[in-house]
Amino acid sequence: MISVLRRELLAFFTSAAGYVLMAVFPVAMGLLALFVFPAVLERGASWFHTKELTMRSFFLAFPWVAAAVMPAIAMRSWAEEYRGNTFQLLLTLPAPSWRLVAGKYLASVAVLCLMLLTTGVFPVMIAANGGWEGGPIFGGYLGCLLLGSGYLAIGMFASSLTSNQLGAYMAALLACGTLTALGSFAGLAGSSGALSSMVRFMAAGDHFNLLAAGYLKLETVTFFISMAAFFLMLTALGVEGRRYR
Amino acid sequence: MKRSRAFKQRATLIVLLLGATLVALNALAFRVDAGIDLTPNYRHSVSDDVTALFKRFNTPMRVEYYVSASLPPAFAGLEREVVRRLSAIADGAGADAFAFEPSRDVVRLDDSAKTIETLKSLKIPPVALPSGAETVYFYSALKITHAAAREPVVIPRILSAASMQYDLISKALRLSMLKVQPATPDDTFRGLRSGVRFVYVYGDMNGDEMPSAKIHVRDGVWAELERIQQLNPAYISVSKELAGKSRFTPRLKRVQDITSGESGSAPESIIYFSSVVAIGQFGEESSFDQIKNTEGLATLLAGGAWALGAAREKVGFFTPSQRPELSEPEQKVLYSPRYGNSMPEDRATSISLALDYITTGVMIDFDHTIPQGLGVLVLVRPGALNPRQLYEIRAFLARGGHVLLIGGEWHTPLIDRYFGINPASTSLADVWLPNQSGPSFTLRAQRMKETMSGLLKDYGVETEAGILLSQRQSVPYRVYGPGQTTPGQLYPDPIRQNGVLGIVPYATPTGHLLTSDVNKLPLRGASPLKLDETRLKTLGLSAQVLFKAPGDAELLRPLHDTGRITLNYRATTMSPLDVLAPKRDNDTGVELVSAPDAIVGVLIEGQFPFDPNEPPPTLPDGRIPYSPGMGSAFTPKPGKLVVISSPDLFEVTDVRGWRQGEPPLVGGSDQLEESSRRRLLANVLDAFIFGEELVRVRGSTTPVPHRLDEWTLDEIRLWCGLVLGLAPAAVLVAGGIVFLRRRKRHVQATI
Repeated sequence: MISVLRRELLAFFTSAAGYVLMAVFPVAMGLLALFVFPAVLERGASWFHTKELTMRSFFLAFPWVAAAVMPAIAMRSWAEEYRGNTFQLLLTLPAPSWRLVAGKYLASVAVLCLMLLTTGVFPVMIAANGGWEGGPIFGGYLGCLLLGSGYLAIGMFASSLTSNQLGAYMAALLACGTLTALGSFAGLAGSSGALSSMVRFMAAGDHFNLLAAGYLKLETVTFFISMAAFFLMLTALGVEGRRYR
Repeated sequence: MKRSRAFKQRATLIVLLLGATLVALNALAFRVDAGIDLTPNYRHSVSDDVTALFKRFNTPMRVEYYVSASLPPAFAGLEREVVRRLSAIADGAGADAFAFEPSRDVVRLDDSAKTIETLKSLKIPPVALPSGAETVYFYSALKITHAAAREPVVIPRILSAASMQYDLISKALRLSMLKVQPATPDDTFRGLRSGVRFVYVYGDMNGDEMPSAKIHVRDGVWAELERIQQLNPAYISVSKELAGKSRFTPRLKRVQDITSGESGSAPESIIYFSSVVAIGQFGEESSFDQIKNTEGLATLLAGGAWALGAAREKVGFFTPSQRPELSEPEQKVLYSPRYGNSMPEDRATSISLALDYITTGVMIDFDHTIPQGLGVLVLVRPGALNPRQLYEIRAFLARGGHVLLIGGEWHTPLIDRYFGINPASTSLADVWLPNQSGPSFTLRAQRMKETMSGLLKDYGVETEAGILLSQRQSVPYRVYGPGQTTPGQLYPDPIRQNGVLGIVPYATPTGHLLTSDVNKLPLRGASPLKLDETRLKTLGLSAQVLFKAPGDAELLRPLHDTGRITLNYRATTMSPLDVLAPKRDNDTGVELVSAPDAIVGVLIEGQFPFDPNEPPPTLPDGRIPYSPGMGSAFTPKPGKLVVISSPDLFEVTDVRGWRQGEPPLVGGSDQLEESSRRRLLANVLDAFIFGEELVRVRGSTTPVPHRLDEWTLDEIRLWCGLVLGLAPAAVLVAGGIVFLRRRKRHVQATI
């Protein structure tokens, strides 16, 4: 598993795309958090004009960015192996499929952690201006990690289904985007009833928002871990299934 | 093939098992509903004080909870959050005091009857306004009532599920409930008070062009209106009686009859109340044609008056009978309707007080003394008191009397030339300037001859320009609009940040209302009160300052959150925030004395100085006083002096002199004024004089910390550069280094 993890990390950091992705991520997050989301929420104001010393807009933006970026990180994990015919080589490794999957997944999560690290200037800016609130910021980043990990699992699953990276990306983007936007459309399912409850439960964005507000709920953590576990299991099964083809 | 089939079967089984396990786990976690509040001061948790408060109630509470059928996306989790909050309160309070059945959409709880009555689930669809372009949303309302409350009290903050939701909720519940067409009132609108106002009046006296008449005001909407009314009692009141009516016709007809003195055809009008959108959008291009005719305005005004009058009947105000802990003398509030100069407001105040307390008229002009055994002496705008009267007051205070001095005229409205609106008399929270870049304008406040200021100064309360102002001497005071005083230093009003509420331009005799020393917060209703600490110390008196309540609480919350002041809930009433602050709090470093503009009232407690052997002054008419002084009969006792220097302190005209020769601007709507006065009076009396218990609210009530001053351009550039550029640059540099090394290695390998 460790060797797979190392191999994946090496592959990511020896490709220009990895660095570009890591450079684009903080820029996108910064632009969204400082300008776009405050403008939407505060009617034209930038983050600086709101004078709020919080990461509210940052965390509001994250699920959307994650829905786009996490699939990009994960899309090559299996599709690339299929395409480059290295998959068979992988299968010859003396490790069960789930270890391969875990290795690749942990590598993706490590990349996610590094990406989150690149946004560290934001909380520093807040702290420097006297607005530090450890709880919500910690909760928010924990939420980023959990949500991102969940989306990575989805992306990895999508990647395990096809050798077409773009196809995997689009499928994962659709799935993650839906989960993010689900909360916004929960009203369509009514305010009560099983469907409504289900829709609201599946709304990853809403779960994330709670964490970002500084309220760490067992239910939220369980949701994200479940999501990741479920899709990782599907991925492992999918990979394992290829052994029998 | 066989292996493949076996694997598929196994995989299906695993997926099903795993899925079921995960679903079960999530269901369990959902049911357990455990969580850790990571916020400082446990923002998302019910405070111990609040829970303790509920526990102390010996009568049941009633909870009504409404949620509209189609919540906007941002409120998807609202219902559940409300339920969670209520459950938390219920857990804390115990079933004896509070019960809540979370599985219902709408519940009514009544412990006294030991029943839980489930109301019909309230589903309120969005209501289309006549234009079809706007939608009226009713989001939710949570109303908690208790017998001890003066009126049904809503605790909207309980709804704050999360910081980001809070903003949405507060915006939606308090400000944006009704989305209406932008409207600008014309001159005929000036009779209305600002803040919560009748935003949308679609009125045609003949009822022929009334598409909006089809709009029904539903119960839930009505509940929401009530809530707004509670937050802004000075402006709006609604009656539950109207809740079941689909139209206002009968009532408005009656109102029209009263107003015009003639019975005409029944007007069909739909009146929408809102604290809101109009505030944010006033000043923009819009029209308010619907009420341009005077008939419409009259109906509007009278409708408000009527509604409030009706509401009074249902409001459970405190009465002495509900205050068993007070002894009989304490219940007696003395009121002087002819103290110095006679004013119609005195009469109104007297009537207002009589509704809540046992009142007695005191005519010390004639009696030349204040009777023994009385609890509180209320002085309303006591013009020029003669030395003898001042002597009596001093003696009264020194022998343990309580004096409430209301330093302003209650009826006096402020008017601004933009809108011609009057501010509240209890709270200035909802007066605003829509055009922040507009020019400042001049209000005129006039001083009135008075003598109380001298006495107050002797007690350590300085009033600068005098405690009373009148129309006689016109002194212009510059009033600043938002951002006009010290640009870049105004404290961000969270409500204004949402683009809804502006900042109030109130005048002070010193003319620097908006440049308060406290964080440059544009506190409203500022008065020239200052405390002379040295003098107070010399006399051994303690002081507590009072801010306006309740509306200013919203503005003061940032100060509270930054530890500058302390907000308190009234323990026995749970009324919206009374904003009280210690004069100096070593723990929090509060030094409010340095912010005189923020102080609108002060409570002085202790043994007031008085020499019992001091002979009383000669009466104004030269007669010899009947009493030679207090002498040995005088027993010193700690007294209380409350000075309220309200915004009504000012007798104001605008540049066009609207005030002159005009009838009261809220003509026909005395109840509006009365309600307002009554509330303030009762709050002050209960909190200060009767010492109602206060509950300290947890330190941080706002969801978000704010920066106190504006960002400078340099700072913005710096941080933008760092946030947007630092990490990407580092990543790219790292990437470059990696590639260079690889290239080097590649070259070496090739060689």
